[in-house]
Amino acid sequence: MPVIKCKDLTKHYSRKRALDGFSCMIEENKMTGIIGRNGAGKTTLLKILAGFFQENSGDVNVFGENPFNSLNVSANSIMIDQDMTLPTILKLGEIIEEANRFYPNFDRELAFRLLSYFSLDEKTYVTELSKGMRSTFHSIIGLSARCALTIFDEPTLGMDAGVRKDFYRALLKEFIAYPRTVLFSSHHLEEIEDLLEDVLIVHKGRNHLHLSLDEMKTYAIAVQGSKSMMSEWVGEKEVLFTKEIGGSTYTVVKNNLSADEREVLRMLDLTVSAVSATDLFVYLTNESKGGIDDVFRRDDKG
Amino acid sequence: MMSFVEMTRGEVIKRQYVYKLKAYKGSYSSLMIIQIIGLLFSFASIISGGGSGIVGFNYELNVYSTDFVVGFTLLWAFITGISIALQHYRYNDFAFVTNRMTSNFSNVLFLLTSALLGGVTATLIGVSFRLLYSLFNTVEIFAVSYTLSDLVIGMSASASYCLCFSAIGYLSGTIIQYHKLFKYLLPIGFIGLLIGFGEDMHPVFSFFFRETSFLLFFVKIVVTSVLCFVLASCISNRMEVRR
Repeated sequence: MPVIKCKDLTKHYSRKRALDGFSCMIEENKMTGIIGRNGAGKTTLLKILAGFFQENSGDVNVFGENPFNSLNVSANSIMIDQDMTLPTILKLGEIIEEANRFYPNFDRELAFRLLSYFSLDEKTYVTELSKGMRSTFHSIIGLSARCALTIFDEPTLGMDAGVRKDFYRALLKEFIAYPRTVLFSSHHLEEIEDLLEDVLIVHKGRNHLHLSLDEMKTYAIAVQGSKSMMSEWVGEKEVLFTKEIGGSTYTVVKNNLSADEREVLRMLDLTVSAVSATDLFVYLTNESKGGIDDVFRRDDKG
Repeated sequence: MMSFVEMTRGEVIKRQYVYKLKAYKGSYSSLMIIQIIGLLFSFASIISGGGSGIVGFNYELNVYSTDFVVGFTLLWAFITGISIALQHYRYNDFAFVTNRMTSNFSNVLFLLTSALLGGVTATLIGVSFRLLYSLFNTVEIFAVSYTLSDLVIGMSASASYCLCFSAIGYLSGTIIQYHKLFKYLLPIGFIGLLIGFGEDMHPVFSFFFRETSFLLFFVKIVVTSVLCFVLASCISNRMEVRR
C-alpha cells in the first residue's frame, strides 16, 4: 500500500521552480533515499510531504490526505533537518520530555540512552551545541519518535565520520525492530547505500528515476577501449557519460544490450565494468555528458 | 509497521498549551522585571505639594499612583503577543505535533493565561504599594477604600486590558510575519494615524478607556480581542513553516 502519492506536483518560489511536475509513489515501511544534486528540489518535496509547505498545483497525498494542515499527518510523521526550531529556553532533557508527550510511540528511554552515548549533556541548551552535535540531537529525536513516516533531510550535516557511522547503524537497528516508512535525503549516497532499499533521484524538480538499489547497481555498464574502436561501437547508443583516459575512451551506457551487442563487445576486445550507484547518480544528473572535464576542454577546440 | 496514531484537536491543543507554558517561561521573568521597573517609576513620580495655614498649620500632599505598573504590564502583554506570533516561536510548535489551527488556538490560551497573570499581579502590586508606602511613612493615606469585589473588578479589568493588548500584539506579529515590510509599515501607520487624526481618535480611546459599566467594558474588550485573534488565525492559516 503506498503511503505517499504525488501527482504532477509543482512548487515555485518567486523566481525559481523547485518542483516541476513531480510524481511518485512510495510504499509503506520502505527506506527510500531521496537523492539529488544541490537545488534539485529534494527539500521542497520533503517539506510538502511533512505539511510545512503548500504545493502550487498537483496532488499530494500522505496517509490518504493532503498533509498541509493535517493533524493526522503531523501526529504520524516527523521531519528532521538542520532548520528544526526547538525552544532555546529548555534543556535537551526537557525537550526530549516534551517530544515524549507529543508522540505516542516515542521511546523515552532510548532517547536518553542515545543522548548519553553521543555525550550530549541533558542539562545543556540547543544554543550551546555545535552544528554536528545539533544534527545528532535532532536525529535522536527523529529515531526515538518512531513515527510511521520519518523524514530525514540531510540529517548528518556537520557530524563527524564516527558519529555518522553510529547514526546509520542506530537507524538500521531501529528500522529493523520497528519498521516504518523512512525518507532519507543525503549527499553521501555511498555512505547510506547499505541502508536503502529504494532510491528516488530528484532532478530539476522531477522524479528522474525511482528504482531499487539493486536495480540501480545494474542499471548501467561502463565500456572502455581505444578511441576509434569506441566511437564505432557506440554509434547510436544513448551515452550516459564519457571521458577520455590517455588514449582510450571510457563510456557509460544503459545496461540493456542484446546478446549480439555483447558478442560484438567481446570481439572488439573492449573492457566492460560495473558502474557504482554513486557514480551512476552523478552521471545521470550531470548537465553535460563529459562532466567537469568539458569545462577544461577549451584547449582542444582552440 | 509503527501503529498509526490518531489525535483529536483537543488533545493536541492541550499538549501544545502545556508545552508553551514551559517553552515561553522567559516571559514570566520579563513580566517580573518590567513590573519592578514600573514600581520604581511609581515611587519616583510621587507628586508632592503642600502649604501652610495661618495658625501654624502645615500640610503636605503626596499623590501617588501605580499606573506605571499597569502601563508597563500592558506593554509587556503587547510585546508577548507580538513575539509568540513571530517566526521562531511559530516554528517551535511545528517541531512536534500541530497544525496551524491548533497552534493558533494554543497561542490564544497561552496569551489568556499571561493576561490573567499580568492583570492579577499588576493589581496586587497596586495594593502592596499602599501597604509599603504606609509602612515607611507615618502619614495618613486618603485612598479610595478597597473591598474584595473592587479588587476582583480591578484584577478583571487589568486582565482584560492585558488580553486586548496581547491580542493586538498577536495580530501585529502575524501581519509582520505575513510580510516583512509590515515591520516598518505598521509603526509608521500607527504614528501617522496619531499625528494626522489625533483629535479624531478621541472617540476610539473613550470607547475603550472611559466605559463606566464594567459589563459593557468587558464585552467590548473581549469582542475586540476575539476579532484580532480570528483575523490573525485567518492570515496565518496558509503560512509555510521552516522557509
